[in-house]
Amino acid sequence: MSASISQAVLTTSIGHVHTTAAFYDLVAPPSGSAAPSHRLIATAQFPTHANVGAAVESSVAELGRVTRRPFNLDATDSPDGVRTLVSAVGVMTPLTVTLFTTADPALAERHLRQTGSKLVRVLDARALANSAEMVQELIQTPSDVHLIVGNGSNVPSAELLALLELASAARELLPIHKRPPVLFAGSSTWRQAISRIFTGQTAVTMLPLLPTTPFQAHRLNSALSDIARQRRLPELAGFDRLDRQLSVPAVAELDALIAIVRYLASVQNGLVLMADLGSSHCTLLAATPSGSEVVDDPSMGMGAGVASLATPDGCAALQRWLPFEVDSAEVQDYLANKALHPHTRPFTEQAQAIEAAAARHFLQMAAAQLWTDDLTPQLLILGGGTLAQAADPLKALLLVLDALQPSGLFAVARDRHGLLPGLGALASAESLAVVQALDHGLLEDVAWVVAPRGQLRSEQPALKATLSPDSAESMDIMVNYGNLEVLSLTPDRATRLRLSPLNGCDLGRGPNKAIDVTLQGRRLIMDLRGRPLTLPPDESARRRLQRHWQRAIA
Amino acid sequence: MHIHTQRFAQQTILQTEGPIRRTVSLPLAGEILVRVGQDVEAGQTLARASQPSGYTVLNVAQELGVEATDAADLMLVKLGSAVKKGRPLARKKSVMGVRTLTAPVDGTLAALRHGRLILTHVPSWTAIQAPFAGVVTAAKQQRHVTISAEGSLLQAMWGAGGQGHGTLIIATPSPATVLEAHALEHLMPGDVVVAGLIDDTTLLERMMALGVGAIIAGSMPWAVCKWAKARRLALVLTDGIGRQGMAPHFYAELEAHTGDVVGVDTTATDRRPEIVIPHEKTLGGNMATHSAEWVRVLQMPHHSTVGLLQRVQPRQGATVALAQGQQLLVPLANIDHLVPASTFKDA
Repeated sequence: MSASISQAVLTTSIGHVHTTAAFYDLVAPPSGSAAPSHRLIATAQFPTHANVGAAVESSVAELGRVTRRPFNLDATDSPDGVRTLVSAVGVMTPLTVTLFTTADPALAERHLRQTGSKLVRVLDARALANSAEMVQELIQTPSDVHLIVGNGSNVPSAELLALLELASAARELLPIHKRPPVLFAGSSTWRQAISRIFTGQTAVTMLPLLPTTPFQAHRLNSALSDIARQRRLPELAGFDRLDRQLSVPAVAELDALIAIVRYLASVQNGLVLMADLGSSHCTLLAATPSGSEVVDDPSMGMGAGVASLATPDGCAALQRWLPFEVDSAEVQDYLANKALHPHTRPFTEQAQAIEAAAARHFLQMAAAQLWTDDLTPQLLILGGGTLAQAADPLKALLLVLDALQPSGLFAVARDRHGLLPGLGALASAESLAVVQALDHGLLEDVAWVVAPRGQLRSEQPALKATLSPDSAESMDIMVNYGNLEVLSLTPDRATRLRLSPLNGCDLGRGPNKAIDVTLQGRRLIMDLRGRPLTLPPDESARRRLQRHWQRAIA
Repeated sequence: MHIHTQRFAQQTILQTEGPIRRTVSLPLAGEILVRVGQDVEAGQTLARASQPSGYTVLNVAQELGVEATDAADLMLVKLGSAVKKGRPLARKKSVMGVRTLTAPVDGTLAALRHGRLILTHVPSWTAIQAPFAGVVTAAKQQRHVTISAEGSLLQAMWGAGGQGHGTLIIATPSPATVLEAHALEHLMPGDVVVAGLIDDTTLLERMMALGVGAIIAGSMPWAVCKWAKARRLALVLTDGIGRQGMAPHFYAELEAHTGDVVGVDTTATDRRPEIVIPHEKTLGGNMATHSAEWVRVLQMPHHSTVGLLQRVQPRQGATVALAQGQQLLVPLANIDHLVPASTFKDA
């Protein structure tokens, strides 16, 4: 990342429902003692509709109205001082991938989940038994990418080579411009044999073996990102105009988010977890200073994705998260309708409960797919319309706590205006501006959460919190197992706190090990419901308890 | 003047008169069967294309016992040639005798690579029909045909996947009424049935058996929708899924055209399902071109209620005046802006 500093910047992120524009300007501190730095001045949102260029122009025009500063996106040397315009694009159709492998596909599937692409078929040695069907699939529903994944062996398997020879013959039936690019991830000793199969057809992009442990970067991500940019961006209506206006090439929203959350992880020097749930995606991102793990699933968005839950089985899965009884047919009708209007907001109590249940279900599914069990973050970020723009941020937080069950002591913030993707896109052009903007409190503080691991009998003491506010006497609070309590803090003052887990509970440093911290924030949520969270098997008891938790956090 | 048009995430075309222009496309290049300037009827075939109905893979090298690199030299038929079942495709002579590979099916020799030969089977036809009566105004790239007409255009919320046309018949007395069996007694084959709410698959079954041209309903429960979708019925819902019925303005527009020929198209993947009523009548003009702006609410408890937009406050929402004098404050996200096609950005 370069550390250049220029003038005002505009970031935009194009989502399926809204396009968000943000204006950052250089502002001198009141004392005048320090150099000016970038601060967020204003944001604006506009419905995206079909044309991405028009969506960006409309959102920036709205920003101009708000700031009374007309922005001319076509001016190369802009008189208004804005020299940088960047865009994170979240409306690209996911790349479709056909996987060729004779190894266990699970590893490749894990890696593909990191990229936002969609695995449409796995072809292994069994496909050779019905070669006509394989040809039909490859021709009639061609994917965007052919990915070949080897196993750990130094010698390519004869079956895989036969499979690839057949695929290569099938590719002859496609017009040249429709033949998918071929990527190979595996041992370098296979490369010659694989190149030979596709000779005269396409150059194969050679990648190293896929890592078998999490948080390892791999060139597969960047290779697929490059293909997505080349194939998907030009398909978007109005993109050519937008492309001419941008200061740096547009970035896929997922890539932008990964960049910014990894930066935050390096600042925190620990795990940062981001749950981003919007109308078109469910993204779970775990980042450490050394790497990141992502689940990005467009089929689990709160728009079209909820149609997959409009089935008796889907409704049965949601029932465990509904705090009151709702007829299964009504749930299905609601979800099917929501899929038609992804942008709508639930208005009635029943609608809110159904959407919250669907959100919990999707986040829980995403957590199960995440390639790490370590959910002890230092910072949890809520993103996407469903979580970050919820009318009640604590209810949004409760659903994330229920679904992901993170533990330890961590801060929770929300990206209320959807600014992180835009900042991620800015990072390659103006890294210092990104750092400065984040330093000025871009994320909205929601709460601190303390959630020990462990399971006790109900009402057994599980945590003692000793508070020492700067201007008041210290106070002990004992919280029993099973409870969820909210403690208000004084936002502009630091509070010293000793958190002592009891009866074998663990805050990440070992059973019963206390931690001393100084917190600043609005509130501390003490989640003593145990990890893993267990719900009563009796329906009415479960619903009663869930209503109790909702009241407790309200 | 539509100063708010772009503020709403959803817009729906409700055009009571004016020009309509729609392009229908084959999935791949083929043969266009109409010419520019020609009048076409709803349902008339406009273009057709062929695509292989299947594939056969033959491993020439393995069958003849040669190296893959030698297979091409043994071929008796050129790439791209049509072959009949039983015709010799490749032959190898040796001291052991002659080995011949014959075509197992009728087809075309489409590819030969790495000793593998792919035969495409005799093609099947796919065709596109005119979604409404009009005149052909463009025909491009052996795939795309544009039909133009004057009349009403109503965008729907959901479609079951089929296309149909016929004479418009109102089958329920109000936009909120549930369709009942007795309303089907006087239907004729080819009728297009309009109902507020349909909640029974047996009624759909009866209408299919009768041969109705298409079905237009306000809403249906999801279980009924799934049934209709599995059969790709020519069926549209103007107001989506559930029991909310039809928005009164849609019902009124359809009722005004009772007896007219209507086209229903739910096959397009790049636009919402639509109802088109070609006509040259003037029934009071476009509601949305009046100085007032009409909007529809998309969420309970006022689902499908239509009212006049009074005020838009980006942070708070939109104030909507209902017919009874009541005013609602609705989140902008839950507003559907009813617009004539000419102001619709995505049309």
